This record gives sequence, structure tokens and C-alpha cells, in this order.
Amino acid sequence: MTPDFAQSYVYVVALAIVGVGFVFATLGISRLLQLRHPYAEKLSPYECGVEPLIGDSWSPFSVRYYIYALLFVIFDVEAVFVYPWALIFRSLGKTGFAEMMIFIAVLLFGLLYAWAKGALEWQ
Amino acid sequence: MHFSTPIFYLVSALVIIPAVLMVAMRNLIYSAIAMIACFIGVAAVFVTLNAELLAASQLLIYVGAISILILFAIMLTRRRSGAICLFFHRQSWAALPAGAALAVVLGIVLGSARFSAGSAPKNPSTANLASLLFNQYAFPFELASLVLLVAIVGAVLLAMRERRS
Amino acid sequence: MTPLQHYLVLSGALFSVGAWGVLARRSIIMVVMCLELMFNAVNIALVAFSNYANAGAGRGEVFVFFVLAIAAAEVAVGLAIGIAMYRLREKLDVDELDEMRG
Repeated sequence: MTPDFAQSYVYVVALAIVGVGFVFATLGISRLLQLRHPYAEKLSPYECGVEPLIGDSWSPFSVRYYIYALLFVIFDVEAVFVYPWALIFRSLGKTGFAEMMIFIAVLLFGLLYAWAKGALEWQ
Repeated sequence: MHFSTPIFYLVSALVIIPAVLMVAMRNLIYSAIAMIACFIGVAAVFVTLNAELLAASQLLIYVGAISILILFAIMLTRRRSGAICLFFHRQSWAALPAGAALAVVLGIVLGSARFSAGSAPKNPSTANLASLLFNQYAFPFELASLVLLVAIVGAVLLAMRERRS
Repeated sequence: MTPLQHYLVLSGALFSVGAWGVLARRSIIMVVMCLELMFNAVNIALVAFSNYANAGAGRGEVFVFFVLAIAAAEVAVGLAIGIAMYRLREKLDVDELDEMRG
């Protein structure tokens, strides 16, 4: 690891501190400066100028969201394997190409299965 | 340049403190957020070990994907009042001493073991890792795709199952 | 420089916290999350051994890729079991899963 490369993490840490600090600083400053005169009309929920639907904010949540997130996780893992493969793709030759195509084809079966089961339909 | 020991202690605190908070907090949503902080800390540990590709993979898979899946699962299994906050059960009083005992034993064994190791982490190149993965470990790599296929099929079957009427 | 033992003790501590969570918490989702902590502890140990070892550097890092794939599969199926359990019984409590007891 070259010194320049290690030093670049100083910028990563600085960016993280600025990013987290910005959230707390803006919330804190607005809390310090704001005027507070609450009354019933002001405290009522506001939704694009109309009365919001009465009810729980934890509305029913379809299991289909979970299936989409699940497929996202699986293909995210695939992406992680593709990065190092792409780096040495030329030196691996035809066998390396075949390895990755088999890998992707097997995962594609999973996607086709979810599709055939109707997990991707949105009724 | 190598990362020095104070940086290691800072990064370890970023891993252990969120992990303890995650187990100790009642609300599942707060636990999930503490878990995400812990995963980011583990990515930082990988950086201090000169494993940049793994640090990026850790962020991509754990922070970007698995924590989203866990948050969706918490949302899907909510009650009217919010997330389910099951806390400790009958045997929980024994869990903390058991975990502490495991920590003490692992600490003594790992702290006193002697390995034929260098004094600082090496920096294997990403190309070196890739050639190991796709030449020597090509068969486990293909098996991993089968495991992922089984996971898709199993999870879709379980999640799509309708309520017994 | 940080010696190898420091990383191993960190890994052992994280593993113990995960084991405490698996034993202590009742919610099946929490148990899955604590298992992820234990996976991460193992990953730290694998990367530390891999990059400190005198010979064969990088081998442990390749293993971590497989651990990532297995962890993703484990989370997907474990949480799907939790969701199926909730849909069938409106409960997430691992103590309730005792019908198979002999």
C-alpha cells in the first residue's frame, strides 16, 4: 500500500464526519433558532393540502417487497463475484468465460423460478 | 504506510459497541440500525487489514443488501402498534454468563497462541485473489451458485405460502 | 504495528457478542441478525490470518467471498422462515416452535 493510498482514507473519514455532522448540525441549529407556538390546527397531520387518511402509519406491507429484496441480495452477491472476474477476464480465456456463464445461468434459473411462481406479478 | 495500533482500537470500538447495543436494545428497528453500524465497522477493519475489495464487498452485500432484507422482514412482521419487541426468554439469564465465558476462553486461547505470522498485514492484489478464485477454487465458486439457487427457491416458496384458513 | 493477536481477540469478542444474542433473544429475526454478527467475526479472523500469514497470502480472502454468498443465502431463507411463521401463527417467538418435541 502506497502512502498516497493510505492518506486517501483521511478524506473518507473526513467526508464521513462532515456527512454525519451535517445532519445533527442542521437539526440542532433549526431547533435552536425555531419559534414554537403550537396550536391544534398546526399540530394536525398535513398531507399535500388534504386531510390524511385516518389510520396507522404501519400500513399493510406486501410480501412481494420481500421477494424483490431477496432477488436483489442474490444478484448483489453475483455482482461481487463478477468484479474480480472482470479484472482478469483476458488472462482467464475461454474457461473463465464458461465458468462465469454457468454461474449466471444457474442464478437465472432462480429468477425464472420466481417469475414462474408469480412472485414478480403485482396484483 | 501501515495503519497504526490506535486506529485499530478506534475501529474495534466501531465494531464492538454497536454489536453490544444491537443485542441489548428492545426495539428491533434500533437493533437493525446498530447492526448496520457494526457492519460498517467491520468494513473499516477490512481496510486496516489491506483488504479493500472485501471492504467494498462488505458494504455492497451487508450494508447495502442484507440489512435492507432484514428491515423489510421487520416491517412485514409488525403489529398494529409497531415492530414486535420480544426481548428475553426463560433461559436468558444464563445467556450473558455463557457469552462472557466464551469471550474469556476465546480471548485467552487466541491471545496466547503463537502463529508463524508476519508483523504487518500483506497486501495481496485483487488480480491475485481473482486468479485464486477462478482457477483453484472454480468448483466451490460454481457450487456457490447452486447454494444461491436453492436459497431463491426455498425463500420464494416459504414467503409465498398463504395463511392456512 | 498491530499484531495478529489483536485482530483475533476482536474476532473472538464479536463472535461472543453474537453467541450471547442468539442465546438471549426470542425473536427469530433477532437470532438471524446475531448469526450475521458471528459470520462477520469469522470473516475478520479469516482476513487477518490470510494477510498476516507468511505463505499463501490471499487464500483466506477467497474464503470470505464464499462466506458472503452463504450468509446471503442463510439470511434469505432464515427471514423467509420467520415471515412464514408470522403468517401462520402471528408470532415470531422461537420458544413457540416446539411441536416436534418428542
